[in-house]
Amino acid sequence: MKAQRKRVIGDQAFLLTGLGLGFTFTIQITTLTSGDFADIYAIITTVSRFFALTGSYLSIIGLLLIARIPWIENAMGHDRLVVWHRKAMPYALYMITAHVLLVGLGYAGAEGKVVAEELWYMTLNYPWMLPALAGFILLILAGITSYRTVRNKISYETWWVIHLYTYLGVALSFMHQILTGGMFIGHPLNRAYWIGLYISVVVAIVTWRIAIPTIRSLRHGLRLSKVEIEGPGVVSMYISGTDISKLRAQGGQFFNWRFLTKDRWHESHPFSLSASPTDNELRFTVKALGDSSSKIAAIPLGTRVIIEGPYGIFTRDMARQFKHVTLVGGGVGVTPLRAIIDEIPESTTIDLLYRARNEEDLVLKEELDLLTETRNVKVHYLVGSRSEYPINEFTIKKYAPRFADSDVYVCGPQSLIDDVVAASKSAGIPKDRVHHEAFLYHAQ
Amino acid sequence: MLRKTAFLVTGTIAGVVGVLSYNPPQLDAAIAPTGSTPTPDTSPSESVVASENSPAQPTTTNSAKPSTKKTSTAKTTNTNTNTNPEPAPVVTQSAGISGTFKGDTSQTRWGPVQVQITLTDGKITDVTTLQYPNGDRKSLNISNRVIPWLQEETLQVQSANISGISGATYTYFGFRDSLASALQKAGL
Repeated sequence: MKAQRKRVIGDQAFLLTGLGLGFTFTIQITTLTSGDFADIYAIITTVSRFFALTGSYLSIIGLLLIARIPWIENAMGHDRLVVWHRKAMPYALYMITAHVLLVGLGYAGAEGKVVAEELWYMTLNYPWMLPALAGFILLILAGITSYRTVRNKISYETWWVIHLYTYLGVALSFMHQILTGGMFIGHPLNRAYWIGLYISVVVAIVTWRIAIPTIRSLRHGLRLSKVEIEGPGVVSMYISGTDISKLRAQGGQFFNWRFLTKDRWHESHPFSLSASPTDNELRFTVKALGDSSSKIAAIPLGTRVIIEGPYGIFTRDMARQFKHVTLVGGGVGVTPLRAIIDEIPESTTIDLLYRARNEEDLVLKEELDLLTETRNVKVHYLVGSRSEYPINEFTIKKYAPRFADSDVYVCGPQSLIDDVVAASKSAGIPKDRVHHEAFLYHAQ
Repeated sequence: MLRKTAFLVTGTIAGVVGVLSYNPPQLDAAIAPTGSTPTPDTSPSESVVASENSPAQPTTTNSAKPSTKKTSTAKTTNTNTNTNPEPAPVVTQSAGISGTFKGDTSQTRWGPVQVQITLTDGKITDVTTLQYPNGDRKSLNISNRVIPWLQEETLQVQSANISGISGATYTYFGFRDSLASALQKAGL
């Protein structure tokens, strides 16, 4: 996809999101009555409904962001969508929490009761309120387990399963909105809009997160065919199948991989391709950090594989020219760069700066060394602490003298990306020639 | 990012302005589209809650001021049946039941609720609320806001199986119970 078209799609998506937000505001504004401002408690209830609507809308957008909608994925890039999802969802949760507390306060005040008692009364007596409460608890759980300090203490699997329940949470809270919300009762158009919003999310998720991945994986008959130990804790997984070129995957992109064994069919992991795909083989390389990656090497050969993807716009196509390319990889973040090299023209001069804390962390070293013999590629290993090899314009130019004239690809931890982006800026490289992807999708 | 924010804000403003120019908010028109309004029951009845002091009736007009008692009384004649206290079924030749049926008075924490329905051919064609919580300003406000919706819900679902509404727990249950008894009296 051309950069210009991507931009247009991105703009349209934002315009549409804004339009939806506007509609969401108006379904409340047009149904306000003077009674909604009669006294302080009525006002509190009104504000609470505003939070409910806006928070729900935001959560719907948050779900759409990670629904793997192809145009959106291609226009914005998966990592950015996930970042936005992470930014938006806490606010959705704050607003929904505010709704719960304020509606309790507003009603309790109007009826002269204690807030807790009123909340309990409403839960028991309004239609679909018990499910709504259950849904709210599920959302809160997902929020807490995504909070950084908690997230670091629990396994990816635990986090993922709890996160999966948020779909249930959103679904459970839907009916109480439609049946008791003042803006919906007696307002069929508002109801239609809101139901349409939820239906579109369900359709998007079922289509792009369930149906298409399943159909594709079965059609191409993807199975694990080979596991290769690359070094201490580093394994390459080979997945074979038929007609893989039809997936149109490119080096630098990633899939969510799901291995259908008895104990892990329910979890999927995002890993970048570490080699350009052939017509019958895909490969990714993992560093065994997390509790799952180490076990991933123990999956029996022949296991059926379900993929979601390909995702990501971190590909050769982003390059504005192919005379010189500078690649900067941090740790296991080098793997997509390795795959991108496969697809860059032979005539291009490539400098790969490879940052790692110690020698053992160098992934795919043999392969990279081999590339320096067969291709116009120079690999510079920068092994040591960050203070030994600060990534700035000066360091990069030392190894890649044509840095300023090149397209720049960087993959690794966010700090590395920030450093390279800053270095590129000071070297006067235009923004559209600097391509980056955060490391978080390439390792556990 | 600035560009995207601009698009987002533009969309939001366009959405709000677009809808509002087509359908402006009507703060003072808490109306059941059916035209029936909560009507004080002036006939002899065991509870005399709906007294002269229940002026603020929801009104079908868009006037800025709440209607006075006079206009709301005038509204009563709008309903196509009399407001006779006793159920006066007028069984016609057609298949369904027709007539006006009064539900039992349902006592709630904030006052009694009593619903009267009019049936034509077995269908609920009109709903009137004879009594509703109006003892204090707060109750009155809530009643004004929700009773029209409850009436409209009744006409829509044609049963006592109506949805609750935010902000009026007691009124909702009182309304529902009284409506159920009215339907029972009608034999539905």
